[in-house]
Amino acid sequence: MDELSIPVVEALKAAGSNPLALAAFALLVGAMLVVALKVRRNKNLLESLEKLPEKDRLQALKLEMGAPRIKGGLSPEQWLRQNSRMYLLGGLVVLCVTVVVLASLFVSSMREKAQPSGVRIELLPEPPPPAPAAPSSAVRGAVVVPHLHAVAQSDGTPASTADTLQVTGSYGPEQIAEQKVPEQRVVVYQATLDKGVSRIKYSAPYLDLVQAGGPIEGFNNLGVPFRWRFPRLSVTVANNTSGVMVLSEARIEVLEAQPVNDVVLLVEDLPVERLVFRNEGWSDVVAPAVEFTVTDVQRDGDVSLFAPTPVVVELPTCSDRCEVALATHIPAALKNRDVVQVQGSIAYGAPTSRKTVRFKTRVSMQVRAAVGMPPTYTYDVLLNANQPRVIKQIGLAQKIPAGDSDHFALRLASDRTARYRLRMDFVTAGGTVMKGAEAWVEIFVPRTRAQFIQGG
Amino acid sequence: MRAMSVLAMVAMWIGGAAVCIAQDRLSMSQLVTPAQPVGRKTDHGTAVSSLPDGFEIELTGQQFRPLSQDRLLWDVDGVLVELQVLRKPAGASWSAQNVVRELEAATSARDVESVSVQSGEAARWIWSTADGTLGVASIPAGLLVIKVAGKASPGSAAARSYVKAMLLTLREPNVTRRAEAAPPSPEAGASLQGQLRLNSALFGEQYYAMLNSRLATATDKQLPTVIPLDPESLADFARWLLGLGEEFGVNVFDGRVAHAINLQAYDFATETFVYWDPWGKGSFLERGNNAAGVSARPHPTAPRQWLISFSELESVLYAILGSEHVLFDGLRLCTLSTASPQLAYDTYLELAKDKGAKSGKSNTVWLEGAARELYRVNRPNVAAALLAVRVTIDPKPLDRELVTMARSGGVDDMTAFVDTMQRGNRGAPPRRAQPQTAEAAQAAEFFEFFHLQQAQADPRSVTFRPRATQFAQRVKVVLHLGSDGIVTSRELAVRQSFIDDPAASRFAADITKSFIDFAVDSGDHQMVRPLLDEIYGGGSRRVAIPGALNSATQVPAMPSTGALTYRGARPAFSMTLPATQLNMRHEGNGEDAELIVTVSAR
Repeated sequence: MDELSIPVVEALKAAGSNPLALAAFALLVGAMLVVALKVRRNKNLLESLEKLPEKDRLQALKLEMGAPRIKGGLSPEQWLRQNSRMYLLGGLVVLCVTVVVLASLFVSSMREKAQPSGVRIELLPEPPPPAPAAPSSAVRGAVVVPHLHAVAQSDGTPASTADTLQVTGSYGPEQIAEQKVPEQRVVVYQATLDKGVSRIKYSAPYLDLVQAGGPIEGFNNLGVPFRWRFPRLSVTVANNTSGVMVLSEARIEVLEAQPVNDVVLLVEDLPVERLVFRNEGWSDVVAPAVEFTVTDVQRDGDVSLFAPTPVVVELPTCSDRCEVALATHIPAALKNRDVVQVQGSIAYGAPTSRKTVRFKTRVSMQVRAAVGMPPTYTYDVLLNANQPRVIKQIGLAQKIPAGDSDHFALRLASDRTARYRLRMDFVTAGGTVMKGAEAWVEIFVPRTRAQFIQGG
Repeated sequence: MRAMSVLAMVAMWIGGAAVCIAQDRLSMSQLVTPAQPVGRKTDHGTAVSSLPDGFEIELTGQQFRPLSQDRLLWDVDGVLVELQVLRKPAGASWSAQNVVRELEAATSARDVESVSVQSGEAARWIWSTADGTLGVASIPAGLLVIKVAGKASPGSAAARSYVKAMLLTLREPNVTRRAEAAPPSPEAGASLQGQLRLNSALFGEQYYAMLNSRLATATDKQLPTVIPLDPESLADFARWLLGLGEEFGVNVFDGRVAHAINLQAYDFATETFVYWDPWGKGSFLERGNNAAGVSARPHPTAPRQWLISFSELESVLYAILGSEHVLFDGLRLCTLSTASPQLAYDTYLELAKDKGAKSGKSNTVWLEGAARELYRVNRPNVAAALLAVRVTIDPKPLDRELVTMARSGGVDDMTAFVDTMQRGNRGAPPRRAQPQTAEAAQAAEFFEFFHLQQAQADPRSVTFRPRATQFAQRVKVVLHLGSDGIVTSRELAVRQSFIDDPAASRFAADITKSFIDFAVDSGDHQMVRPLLDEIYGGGSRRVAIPGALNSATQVPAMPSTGALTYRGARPAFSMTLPATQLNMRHEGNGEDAELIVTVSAR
């Protein structure tokens, strides 16, 4: 009996995952039990009847079975055999019904297995803010930003990626003078799949230019230095179950956090009476030395009429801003000019690893009133580069009908430029955890813009 | 090797020709580097232009190497070339031919040649010196001097040909190109100069800026339409203007970037400025948005309006921008706030005639607002004078509040006060001036000091002119005589060009002041003294701002209507003194324009 009970219990447990299967299983067990008891009783009775005289057999059957109505001149033995066959037929019917139910469940189960519920997380490509030729901030046309699908299933097994690229929303509120930021200083995010792990990285031609030593040209110090936003992850959840799925929470676990310590030098265009370098990287500009000449503003085809005199100025280590007062370095011939041109190079860094960046910019000898509103950079989740091993929980109320899918976006921010290894899981209202895949995400934050980061 | 020869030439140049010029009448200091020169590449070499000096000239040669940081001195394909200008003195007579002859003499010119040009074009000359070849051309600013050395031997045909070719390229500068060189304002911000130009063009009225002298750049300080003030005075002047009911734009500068806001009101109870920020959200002066560390706070009820304390705005206030009438009215009221009520009355009554619709605020409203402010800062006498002007030009009764203010200031009957002001000195019986004959008048120190000699005489007048030839045609003194030979009036005629000439204006002011001092009756000296101080002292007088928070604050005094007439800013001026009548008027146009000052017995 014990040997029998184990498979039954196991079968019950297995059937317990589906109410219909459980009901069918119970019905089958009950029916089989009844059929077995009845058939066994009839068999015992038949054996006993055959030991009695033929004339007593009907009386004995009536005493045992309670007044059976025997029709058509059947003998008691024949009636018992027919009765047993009826029970077996009933059991067969129950068995068939159960088989049909189980087959249906099996088919349904196989179909669900072919189209599982799952979570897909990808980099939501966003177009950069409109170029001067297209001033509207609305999203238009094809998006060429490379993308990646980091897909996870409810059972944790990887699934194939689908090439559906969704573009929703806009780049966000336009920042001051952003339309004038050249393509060189547009920060884009790119994603690649490396051994099954998605890697999302930022890039901008300007960053490469600085690394290569320039030459860099002045940027409008009244506006933003870069066209950039925090990356937005597109999360698509498909519900291929037969019931409604309610997502109640997203969990972002920061597995690793690595601050990116670079010097990202910019030189301001038209600062007032001083040469100003801006460091948008998160490492200090160590022992900067600036060598420059001051000339008249030169455009294409212009010729400098005065012999430039190189000036060398050594500055103390600075963090986000290095300044050289120009008043004493303006040649007599350029006194009273509205604007002068300053060009040269800045060297910085430790003695063994000094870098040099060439620059050319203009310096205003007049105050220019036009500073714009401070920018705002919004996010949904702010990560801290100095806090690994934390889990960020995001409350969700995402209701997805059976067989449907829904999409939402999460904008990830960082308190500074950093690289993170993340995993994003989702929790349903029923408490089921849908595990997501890991991904590396690099987030760019210009140093002087960090103060303008705001929760979305 | 070539570099060494060029260096040698530079040394020879500086020590040679330059000294030659310096030793004669034309000193080296008169030859200067052209103003704001611009160079550009051309097909054959380099074009050099100067918009202020009004020329463009082309230098042929592919290798163009500047040799000096502050002079237009170049090595052009091995030829040493320098451009200089000799500017016309302002206001003085100028003959290019005469100056060229002086230059020739100063440089020991040989083989002087006049380069033939078409009619109407600038005259050009070439000659040789011991050190090189000189080309000279007439330009709007004076003369352009081209010095060339190192082209064959000095004065050779090749050198002269080179200079001649250069002279023939002389033309007017390309104005359009220079304008394009200006940085675009929308992205680069608006300079103070640009803001003043824009406002002047928009509102059809000259705009000026009161500028923070401590924060201002050297370039901004030199703009012609700015008035530098120390930061304390600037903030107090803004407070004063707001008290007068004005609203105006200001630039604020945190040491890195600047922003423009509109000052709208001042809360004297809390000593707080109320301003409007064009940013739709937040303000530049809000904490965290500026490098100066000031922290304005939002107005509790008015959207987009902000409150900032006096001291915080003082620390970032860069410039007050205002129309002529807003800023000058504010300065004038500072100037007259301690004057006699009669002077204030006469001045504002006369100015009321000038004020047109462009002032944006009617005289009535301005006078009432100014009077209220003067009562607030305890200047009741001048406040009453302003109300008297208001009643004179608009007979409508004053409102109850102003009547109460006037009474508290000691004026119970405004109608009677207005009558007193209207009569002024004219209502008083004239005091008899001391009679004087022409001979007695000539004996005065005035005639001797200015070396005035009789130029013409007839029974009704005697005319005098200065003995010095440079002044003889600029000044004339006439004594008008009665039939009894007694002087009835004294007249001074001064050429306006003499007054306006920066080099000679001091002499013009001296003789005008001295004439009035001589001509008015001795008993009237005291009353004309402020006017004489203004004429001779120029614009250096400074006055306090009434009710200022900083007691040491001062602003430039506004010239009186008499001083403005002297400078040509007003057509006429009249002043009735107890014994004499002083009149000033302008006659003639252009070079013949004259200021006529007449003093006669009442």
